[in-house]
Amino acid sequence: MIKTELRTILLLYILFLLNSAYSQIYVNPGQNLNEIIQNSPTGSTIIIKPGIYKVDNLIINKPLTIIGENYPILQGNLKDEVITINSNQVKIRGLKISNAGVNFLKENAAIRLEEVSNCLIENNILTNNFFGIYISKSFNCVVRNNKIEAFNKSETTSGNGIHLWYSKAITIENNEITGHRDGIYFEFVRHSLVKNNYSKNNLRYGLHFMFSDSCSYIKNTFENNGAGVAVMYTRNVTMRENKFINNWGAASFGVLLKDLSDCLIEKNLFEQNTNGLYLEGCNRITVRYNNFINNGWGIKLMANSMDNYFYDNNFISNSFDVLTNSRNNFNSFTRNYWNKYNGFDLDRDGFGDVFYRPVKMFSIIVEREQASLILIHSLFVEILNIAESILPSLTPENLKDNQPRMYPIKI
Amino acid sequence: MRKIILIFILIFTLSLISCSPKPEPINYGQDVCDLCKMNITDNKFAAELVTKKGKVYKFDSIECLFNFKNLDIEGVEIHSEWVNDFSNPGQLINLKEAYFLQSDVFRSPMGLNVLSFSSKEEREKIINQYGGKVLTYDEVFELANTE
Repeated sequence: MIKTELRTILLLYILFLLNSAYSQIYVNPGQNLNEIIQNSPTGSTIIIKPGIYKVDNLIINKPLTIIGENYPILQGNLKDEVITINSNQVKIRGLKISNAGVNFLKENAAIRLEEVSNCLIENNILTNNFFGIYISKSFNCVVRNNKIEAFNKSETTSGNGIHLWYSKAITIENNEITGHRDGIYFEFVRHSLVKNNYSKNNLRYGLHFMFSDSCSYIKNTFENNGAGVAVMYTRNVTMRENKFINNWGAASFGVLLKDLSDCLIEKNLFEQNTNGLYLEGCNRITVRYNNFINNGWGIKLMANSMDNYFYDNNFISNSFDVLTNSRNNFNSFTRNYWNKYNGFDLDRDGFGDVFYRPVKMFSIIVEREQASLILIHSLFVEILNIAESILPSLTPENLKDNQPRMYPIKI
Repeated sequence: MRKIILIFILIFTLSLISCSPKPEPINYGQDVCDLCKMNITDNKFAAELVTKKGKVYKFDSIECLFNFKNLDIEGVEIHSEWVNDFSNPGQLINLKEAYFLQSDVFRSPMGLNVLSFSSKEEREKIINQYGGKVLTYDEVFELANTE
């Protein structure tokens, strides 16, 4: 009995081996790639030899594995999409794809996945495309180890590096994206993971997501993008161990959160941004174990944000640690380290004996009258701040940290 | 000498006469939407609202303008409303005279996917090619504020 079972398994295995061995198709430069793809049997592996292939619009409508040897170049015609995938179980690996055309009516991409599942896009180099990888209405796909770059100067003529729309369970991992409009863009996405990506020098946002609940962003670096990272109209987001660095400009943010609720933001580094973390209309957000270093404003907490918890963070060398534009405060700050705190710790418990008010009067004046920034290091302003911290008149009286740490915490 | 002074006074008084409010060009990539704080980058969907005092509010999409109109500003203060002509990206047209089409083939920055056209013919062109649903100004306003 068992023997027959074993035998069938063995037979199946041999068949499988034969199948995979027999359906390897090699393509050389000069051959018509499109014809070969259309005529190859389902499930075959197409191996593309190095060289340049001019491509109009490859449409893949059956399960295939396409592998490039030493990065063959698939050149689009600057008008259409390069590769359109309309089938499940397609793998694309090791290609260099360029010249997906800029078009105002169609969002052309180097690789588009349209209503598919279980696809894998890995180890590709995408250069000079309108959109890089465009995933719409798909689930269970993986995009990893791709290098995506564009050289557009204006935001209106450039698309996003990795663009997701109405998709579920997508993993975006270890990609490097530069020079697009938004590095990574999510709209109406659920349960997806963005991990270990490096998004830098993009024209608008390094990462931008809207209406995309229950996604996680872990260990990514977003550097020197037009306006940092933007997160809007979303619930249930986890942002952990990311770096938000060097986003300078009048409307630039390390992270901009608008109309968010029930999120966790922990162990991130916010360094050298005009605004480290900007919150507007946010509820029930936990912000803990983050480093806010050398920002213009560490945290801007705008009106109608409630029940947010900021604890165990380090605020070091920010021009303004916290700013809020309302006199009432429904948020709690506790056990943070503030390098501007100059109280004592006589009972040696590691926390200062006197509370700390992070919102300085001067930052409120600046908010009302930008030009007054010129006075930032004047003695007069120092005196104002001290007077205000004793008798709050403009700053919210109950926005204070009752347990300011004496030493930064190790994160 | 007196003449010169007179001329100066004349020029000065002329300069005091305020010009009528008008839309200003949107600086794509630099300007920020006054409702949703996003940088305005798409020159097919951006919109503008001008108040009687000449203050200009810019939006990345018509839905942001309508939300703003509904929540943040009194109707009497509004001088005019403008939106990009979908067929001529970057060209602002008067919103009250625009022809609207909702088509999910095209995705607007905030997901309402309403296109605005300067003429019925332009709209017909897009309908014939991609389909879509024709809307009036009031219907778009309703839609923007129910989303």
